[in-house]
Amino acid sequence: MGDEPARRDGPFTRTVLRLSGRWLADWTGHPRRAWALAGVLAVAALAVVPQLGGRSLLPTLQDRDLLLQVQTVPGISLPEMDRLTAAVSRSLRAVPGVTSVGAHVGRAVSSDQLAGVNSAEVWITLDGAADYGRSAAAIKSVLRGYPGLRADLVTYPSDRVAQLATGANEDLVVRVYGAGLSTLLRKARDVRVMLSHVPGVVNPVVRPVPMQPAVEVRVKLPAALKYGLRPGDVRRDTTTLTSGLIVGNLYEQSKIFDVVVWGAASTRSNLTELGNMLIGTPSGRPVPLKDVATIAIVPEPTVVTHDDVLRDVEVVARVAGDPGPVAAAVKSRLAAMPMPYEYHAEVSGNATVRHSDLTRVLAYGAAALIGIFLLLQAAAAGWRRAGLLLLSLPLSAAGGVLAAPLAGGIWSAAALTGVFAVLALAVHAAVQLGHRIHVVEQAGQATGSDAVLAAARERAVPLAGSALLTAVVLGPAAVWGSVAGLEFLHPLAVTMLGGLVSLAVTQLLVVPALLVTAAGRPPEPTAPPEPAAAPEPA
Amino acid sequence: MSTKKSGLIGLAAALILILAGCGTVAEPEEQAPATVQAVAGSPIPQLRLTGQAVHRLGIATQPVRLAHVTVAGQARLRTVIPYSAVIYDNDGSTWTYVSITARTFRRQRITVLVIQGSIAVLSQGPAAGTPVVTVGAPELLGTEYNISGEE
Repeated sequence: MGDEPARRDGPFTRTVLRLSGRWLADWTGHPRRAWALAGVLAVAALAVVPQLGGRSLLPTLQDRDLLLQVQTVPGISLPEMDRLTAAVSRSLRAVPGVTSVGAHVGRAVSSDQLAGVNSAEVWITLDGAADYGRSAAAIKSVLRGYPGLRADLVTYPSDRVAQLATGANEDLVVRVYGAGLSTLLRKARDVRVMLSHVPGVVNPVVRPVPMQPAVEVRVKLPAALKYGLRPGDVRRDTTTLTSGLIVGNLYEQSKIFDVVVWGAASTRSNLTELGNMLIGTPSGRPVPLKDVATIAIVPEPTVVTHDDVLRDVEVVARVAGDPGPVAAAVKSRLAAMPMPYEYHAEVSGNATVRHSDLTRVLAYGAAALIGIFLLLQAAAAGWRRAGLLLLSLPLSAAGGVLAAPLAGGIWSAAALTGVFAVLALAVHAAVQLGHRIHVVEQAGQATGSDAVLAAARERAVPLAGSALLTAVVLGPAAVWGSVAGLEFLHPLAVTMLGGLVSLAVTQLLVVPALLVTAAGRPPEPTAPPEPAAAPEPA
Repeated sequence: MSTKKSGLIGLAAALILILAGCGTVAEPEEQAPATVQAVAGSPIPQLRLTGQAVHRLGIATQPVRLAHVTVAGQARLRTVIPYSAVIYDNDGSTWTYVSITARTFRRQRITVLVIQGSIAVLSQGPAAGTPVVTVGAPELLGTEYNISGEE
C-alpha cells in the first residue's frame, strides 16, 4: 500500500466528481433552470406554513401502559361509581390488544390526588404485539359508547408532563385569593365588571366553581339550648356517627388497624335516618338530630383548592391586540380596587408571559440570522455571494418540510430537530463553499465564475459523502416506522432524509449555478471545465 | 417559459392539495350513544339513548308502587319508589328519571316525604305504574349536564 505513488480516488469519489462536473456544466449554461428549481424549492419550503402550530410539540410516547381518567357527575355514589368502572373495565378487556385492566375509584385517605368519588383511574396494559394506534382508537371508541361520563386516555409520562407544563391556557387570568367562597365569588364578579371596562380585554368570565350536593347540618340554637346542648356537642356527635372517629389502633401480625367508632350504615344512609339519629344530652336522654338541627342538602364545591393556605376563584378573559399594555392596565386597575381584609388578587396568564417569550425568541432568531450572514460574508468575501448563500439555506431544508407529514407533521420537537439539523448542515456547506471560492480566488488559480466552479467541484465530494453517510445512519429509523422507542427518532430521521435530498440538490446544483450567474458571464459552452474535473488514474 | 411556469403552478397546487389531504383524517362516523332533545315548554330535556348505551350503562327500571306505609303514626296507601331512583340536585331538590320508552328518559320532580330503608315515600311524583330508573340514573344526569367525550 505504501508503495503507491498517488492516492487513488475510490469509485464513490469518481462518480460524484463525474456527475457533478457534468451537471454543473449543464446547469450553469441555463441560469433560468437554476432559478426555476430554486423557485420550486422555495414553494416547497412554504409547505411549512399550513403545518405550523396547534398541537403539542412533544411526540406521543407509545407507552404500553395507558391511563384512563374517568369523570362522572359530581354527587354520584361510591357504589354506583364502582359499578360503572367495573362495567367500563369489562368492556375494555374485550378490546383486542388489551391484556389487562385495573382500576381505582375516588381517593384514598392519604392520597396525593385531587379527586373525588366521581373520578376513577383505569390502568390498561396493551399487548406488546398489538398495533398501538388501532388499539388506542378501539379503546376510545368503547368509551364514546358510554354516555354521561368523560374519559381521557393518556399515558403516565404524558400525564406527568402535562401536569408540569400546566400553565393557564387563557390570555389573562385574574385570581382572587381569600378565605370565604361567597366573598370570593362577589369580588370575582367585581373584577369581571372591572375587566369588561379595560380596552383590549375580550369576554371576561368568572370561572364556575364545580358544585356537588352535600348534606348540611345546621344547629338550631334555641332548640339545642333547651336540651342543654352546645353547637359543638351536636357537631361532634354527628361527625362521629356519619364520618367515623379513629379512637385507637389494633396490632396484629405486625400490621396496624385503625379502630373507628362509626354509626351503623342504616343510620346514615338517607336524610330521614340522619334526622332520627340520636344525639346524647347532658340529661342522659338522647334526642333525635332533627329536633336540634336542620338537615338539608346544599351545594358545596367539589374541590376546595388552596394556594398558600388561601382559596381562590379565577376570572379569565381573552386579550385582543398587544397583550403587554392590557396586562399592565389590568394590574394598575386591580391595585386600585378595594379588597376586604386578607383578600387580594393577582394577574397571570399568557398575556403576561408569552408576549415576552415570543419577542425573545424572535430577537434570538434575528441575531442568529445576522450572525450567519456575517459569517457567510467573512467566508465568501462578498456581500452578494453571502446573500445568495443565505437565501439557499431555507431551500436546503425544503425537503424536510415536505417529508414531515409522512411522520406526523413538522410541529413536533423531533421533526423540527431534523429540519434544524439539515439547516445546520446547509450553513456548514454554504460557509465551506464560500470560503473555498475565496481561497481559489486568493491563490490566483481562477476568478469569477471559474473560481465558483472549481470550488463547487472541490466541495462536491465531502458534501455528497457526509449527506450519504448521514442518510445511511438514519435510514433504519425512518424505515422502521413510528414504533415504541422510536417516537422521537422516526420523525427526526424522516425529516432529515427529506432535507438531505433538498440539501444535496441546493448545495450541489442550485447554489453554484446561481453564484456563477452572479459572478458574471457563464463560461463558454465550448470550454467546459471538464478536463480538470476528474483526474483519471493512470 | 410558459410551460415551465404552468408546470411550476401545477406542482405548487399538487403540493397544497397533498398537504391539505394530510390534515383531514377520515374517521368513521359513529352514532352518538345519547342525544339530548329539548321538550317544548319545559326546561327539562328528554334523553334518547341507543340500545347499546342502555345495555352498557346497565340501566334498570322499576314501576312506581302503591303501598301501605306508616308515616308519623298514620298508615295510608302512598306512592313509593326505590330509594336508588331518587336523585338529589345540587340545591337539594329531588328528582327521578322516568322511563318514557325503553330508551327514552326524562327527569321528573318528586317530593320525598320520608325514606324508610330502601323505599322513598313520595307525597308528589309520577303515578303508580310509571317505570323509574333505579340503576344508572347518575349517568343520565351526567348526559343531561353534558359530561361526555374527551376533555
